[in-house]
Amino acid sequence: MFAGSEAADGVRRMLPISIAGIPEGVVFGALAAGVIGHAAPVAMSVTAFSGGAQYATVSVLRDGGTLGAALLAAAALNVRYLAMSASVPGRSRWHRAAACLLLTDAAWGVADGSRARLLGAGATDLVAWTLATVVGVFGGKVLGDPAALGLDAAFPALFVWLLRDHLGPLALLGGALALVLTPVLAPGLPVLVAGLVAGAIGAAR
Amino acid sequence: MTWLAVALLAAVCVFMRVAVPLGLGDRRPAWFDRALTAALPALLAALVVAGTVADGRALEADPRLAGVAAGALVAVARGPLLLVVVAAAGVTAALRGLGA
Repeated sequence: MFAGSEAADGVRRMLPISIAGIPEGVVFGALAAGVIGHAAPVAMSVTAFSGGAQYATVSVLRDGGTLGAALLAAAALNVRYLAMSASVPGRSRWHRAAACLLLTDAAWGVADGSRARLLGAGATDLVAWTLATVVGVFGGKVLGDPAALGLDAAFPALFVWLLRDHLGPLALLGGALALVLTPVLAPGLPVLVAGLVAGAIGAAR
Repeated sequence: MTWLAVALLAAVCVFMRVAVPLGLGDRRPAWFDRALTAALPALLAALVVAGTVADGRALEADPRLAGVAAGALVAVARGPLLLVVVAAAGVTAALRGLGA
């Protein structure tokens, strides 16, 4: 398969997920505009490109919390990228790192080990997320609660779709670990621990 | 303060994405590839759990669970991704509309 068609494949698979994520970006833009103005939320969506981390930062700024706490929360929310980015292929370390700039949960899942698919999927997600933020910043609360549309279920549904070819004891272990660890660890960490434990089992084989 | 926050948040998010690819170097040992292969299903399953029943640190059986289950049925029947996503969102929205 040519890299070009793999990138297009990444775009095509990512589109429904990116579209489902638009209301969340609109809500973020609307919320953030009231706290940090019009330009900063858009700049944040382009450069941080991480919904959870952006929400955490803006809410801390709104409530007058310290920036250090916000950044720590952002780091914890994204710590799973340390495990995901390890599986992205490429010619050299810089080649791999450049592609990982576009890494999101969904783009990583869609990529399934292809750098070109990661680029297509990640770019699609970045464009949709940024445009949605712009709409939210200037359109205000044009949308109701995205939850009313059930769009929060689209994201785990993508991972179910990807998981269907990887069912087995390791999937069971990962799901069980996430279930047990969610109440005791900060959000984002259970996914990392699940990946690390399964990875250690694989390494020891 | 605002732009300092934007810049520092960008730095944190970029670091989390590129630290491992940059730090690993260009030669990866065989055990590392075995670890990645084993981590994939566990990461996917953990992401399903986090998105389906987690709300912050709380575990909740809300309409998302039924929606994702509907999506899973379509996925197991080898349905396309779009249908999986539409089924999951549709069932979740319908149950929320009913006040579940």
